Amino acid sequence: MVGQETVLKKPKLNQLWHRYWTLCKVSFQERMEYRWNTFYYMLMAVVPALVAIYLWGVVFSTGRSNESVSQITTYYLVASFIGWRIADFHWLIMWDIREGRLANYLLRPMSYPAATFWYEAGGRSWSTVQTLPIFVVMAILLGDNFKAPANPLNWLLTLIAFLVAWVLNFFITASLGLITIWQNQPEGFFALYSFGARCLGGVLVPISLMPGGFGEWLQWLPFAYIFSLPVRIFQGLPADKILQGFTVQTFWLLLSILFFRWVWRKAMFRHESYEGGGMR
Amino acid sequence: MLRYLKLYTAFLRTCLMREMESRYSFIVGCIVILFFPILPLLLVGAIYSQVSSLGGWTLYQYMVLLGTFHIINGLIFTLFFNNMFEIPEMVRKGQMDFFLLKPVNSQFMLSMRSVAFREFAQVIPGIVMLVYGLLNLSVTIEWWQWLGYLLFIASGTVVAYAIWFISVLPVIWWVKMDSPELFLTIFDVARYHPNMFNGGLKFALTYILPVGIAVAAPADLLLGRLGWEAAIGSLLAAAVLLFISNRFWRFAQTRYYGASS
Repeated sequence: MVGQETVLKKPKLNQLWHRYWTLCKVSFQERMEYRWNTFYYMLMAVVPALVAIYLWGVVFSTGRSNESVSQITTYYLVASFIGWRIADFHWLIMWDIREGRLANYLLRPMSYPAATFWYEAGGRSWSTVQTLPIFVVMAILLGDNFKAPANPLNWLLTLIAFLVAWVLNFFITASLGLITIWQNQPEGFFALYSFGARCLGGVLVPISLMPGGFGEWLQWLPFAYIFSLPVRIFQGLPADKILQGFTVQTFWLLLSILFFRWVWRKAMFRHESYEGGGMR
Repeated sequence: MLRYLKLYTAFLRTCLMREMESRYSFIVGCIVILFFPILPLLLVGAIYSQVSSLGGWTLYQYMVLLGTFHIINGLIFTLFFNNMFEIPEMVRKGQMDFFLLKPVNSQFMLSMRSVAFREFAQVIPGIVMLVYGLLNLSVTIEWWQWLGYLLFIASGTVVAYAIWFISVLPVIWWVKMDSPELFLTIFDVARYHPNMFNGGLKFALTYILPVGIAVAAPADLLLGRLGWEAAIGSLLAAAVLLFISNRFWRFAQTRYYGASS
């Protein structure tokens, strides 16, 4: 009885941190193990950015536009980087459910959502360390066509917006991933989300350039606050717009947390495990 | 040849039976796939709201090119998507041994055994874009142009397959590859004509990774823009790349060691 009380005792904050930090390190080390794999992965971020920059260079050299070449070049380079760094969790959760790993996590003294979050955070940190120099070199090569903010506050606000976007996308995609409990073959939906969110979030086309007032409508969706807001802050969004952006981003974050908690509760009632697939 | 045809028919039948096991999932999958070619139209709208012509391509001419791109994209997804994605997993788990030991060409087995029928839905928006572009251009197309179009669609598919296969094979050295879809990122560039770019990118899309000419040739033929050099180059690229993919596969096999079975 005494032993059970010890097990059920709520862990202290530093114990929790140590637990999830370990997962973060494990994922970090796994990515380091296969460096060529990460290099290949990195190429996938660089190619679309290069093509977009080339393409819009052609568009602006042949037509009229309100946006300058340097604005659009900076936009695409930063948007490609951010679009690539923001992790989608639905694939990871889908495989955990399908291969019975979720059940293993549920039996351990750790939160599955937190474990998933920190595991991916570790892996992404390593691939960011690898990818960043390439983007920095690209920015240097672009010369005057890449305009970085001079004010350190802009850098800080961009980083904050990016981190909030990361967490927001975690709650949205984790909720989506849990659909696997009801629908065993959700790959099509998942691929559509990953692709669609980036299209509608401004990675494919800047929202301000979207045709037929479509951009106005997209401001109501969370995708613009995941992929587009950090880039716009980086490019010097006015203070009132930044405040407005952060307010809407926080609103979507709170809503996504509530939604995730609801889906998680429903999923745990429904979840059936057929086999134990070990840990990730 | 007949033996391979029979084998491929058996693959088709098995894959169709597997897809039809869950008809609801198949239909929903097809509907979802329809959106993939539709969403990038936002980019087309954004570009043509800025300019009336991009590198000499008007909107309707570009729709012919884009439609052709989606037809080839749909074909390579249908025929090769599952197979290419399974290669890294097979190497890691040592399952490739089974394929190497079978009395059939191993490249054929690795590349053709799984057909993703639902991915064929991508071809439908491609055909719609092609027809939309052609109707608005009011061009008359002769029967031989349609025949040639089909031939270049086939050669474009072969070019795409060969580059995809070559890009996945390094997994035999690296053991792990999370992104066999790297090729798809590169192939996505083929939605633009090489002539729309200048400098290095145009050169790369034409000579180094000729995905650009693979898609451009059929569209150029319909629009009466295809020169004989580009026509021969496109067919030659398909043959040469297929040969290189086979040689590279043979070389890769000498470096393969089964991790387990």
